[in-house]
Amino acid sequence: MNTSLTDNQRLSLKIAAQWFATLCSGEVTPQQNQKWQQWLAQDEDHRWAWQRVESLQGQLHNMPGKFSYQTLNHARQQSDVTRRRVLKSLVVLLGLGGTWEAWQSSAGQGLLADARTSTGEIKTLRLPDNSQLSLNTASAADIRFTDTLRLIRLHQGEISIITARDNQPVPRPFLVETQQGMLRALGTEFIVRQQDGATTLKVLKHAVEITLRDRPAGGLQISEGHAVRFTGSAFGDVTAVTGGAGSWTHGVLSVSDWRLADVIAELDRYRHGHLSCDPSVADLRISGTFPLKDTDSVLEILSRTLPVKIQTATRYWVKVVPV
Amino acid sequence: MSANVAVSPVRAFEALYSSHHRWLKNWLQFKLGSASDADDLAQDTFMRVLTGNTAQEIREPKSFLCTVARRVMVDFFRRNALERAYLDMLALMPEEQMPSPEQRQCLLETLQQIDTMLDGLGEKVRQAFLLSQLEGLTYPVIAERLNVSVSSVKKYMAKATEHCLLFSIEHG
Repeated sequence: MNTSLTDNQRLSLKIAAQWFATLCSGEVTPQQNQKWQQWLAQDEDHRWAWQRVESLQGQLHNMPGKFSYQTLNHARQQSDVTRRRVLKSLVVLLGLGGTWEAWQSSAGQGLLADARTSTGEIKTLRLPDNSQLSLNTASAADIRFTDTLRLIRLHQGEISIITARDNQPVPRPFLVETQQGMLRALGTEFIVRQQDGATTLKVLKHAVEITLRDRPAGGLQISEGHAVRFTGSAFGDVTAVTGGAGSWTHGVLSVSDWRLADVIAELDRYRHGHLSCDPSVADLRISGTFPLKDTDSVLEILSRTLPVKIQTATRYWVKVVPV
Repeated sequence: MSANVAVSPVRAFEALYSSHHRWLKNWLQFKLGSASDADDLAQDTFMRVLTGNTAQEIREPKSFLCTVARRVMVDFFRRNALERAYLDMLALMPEEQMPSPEQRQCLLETLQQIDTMLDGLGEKVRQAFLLSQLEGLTYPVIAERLNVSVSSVKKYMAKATEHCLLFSIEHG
């Protein structure tokens, strides 16, 4: 085809494409810019070719970029899956496969799994793409991996994620959905906590992008070492992540110069019943690493190192009070 | 001297259509397992033959039609995959943000055009172009993502752009 184009037109398109690639690089010297202008002025066909470039660019820039990019990539992966499916069934026919069922279950509608922890329990799972998902105490999340995306839906509690490089040719986005919005991992390690009416994100490595449920246009990228709490419509202040933020994934609470009240509130999450702290000792300062599996022994340590004692009405009603 | 009278393109097409339409439809139905898809794709195949203006040069009508029909099928699967991915992505979108039905249809059509346009390109070339033009990433970032040099990214961009320009001219 292409027979209607003259050689000069064809050459003009080629050079226009090269100019476009140069101008899009964002590093154009004044000399280059001048050369490009000269090239445009030189010939009617050059201007014609450049108009074609501009209309192509116009078409692309009128689209919602991120959405379109992801859709096009997902579509490509799906066609690849169709291709792979054909290959795979061939392998099975030849008797070389052995994991047909395993493969089929993850390739169909998407692997739907509920991950849950009870109070006091901490669990770490390896996901199909080798990413690591840890659930803190009293947490629940759905894991939905499809051919086109990796999605964790956090219903309650707190999760920590260390994403792995996707094993697909075109990496699927890694998303975490909470009641307040959608987080997109940009190759990362991060912690998400679902609270009443708000989500807290702490980024330990690289970055995470947040899209609010009610204000999707104003996204925010949180970079390494930063934390933010957000509702469905607004972001709170971005703060620094305190050291030891991910220590719970190793089954310990690691704190440095925390208020006793904050430590108690944290320990309370791992216990049935009610653990509280008398206001008169709330501001005592404390540092250390405590096992989360056995919060009773942590309370005992506290009572030995601080001027406090543990008042136990019942096993489910415990209060830290002054000596 | 007797000269061969050239068969007119339209006449050749009509002859091909009436002698092979039913056969092609059956072949497609066997391949696709759906009578209505087979109907549509048979029409598409003949449309391509007609616009390609090649009906009069065909020596082996069946194998020729199969070749064209296979290309039509590949495009059909790709369109389906795109539509599924598009619905997936829409499903993730918050309700309030959902575009109107007309906007949705329009965007899907544009995405289909772009998908088709970029189809013949290698994966890295395609990625470089999309990451630059849709995600708005800089060349150094794209280079890192694709594990290539910045100068390769620029080459990919030029290649993809030229390909798109030629494609848009050929396909109106």
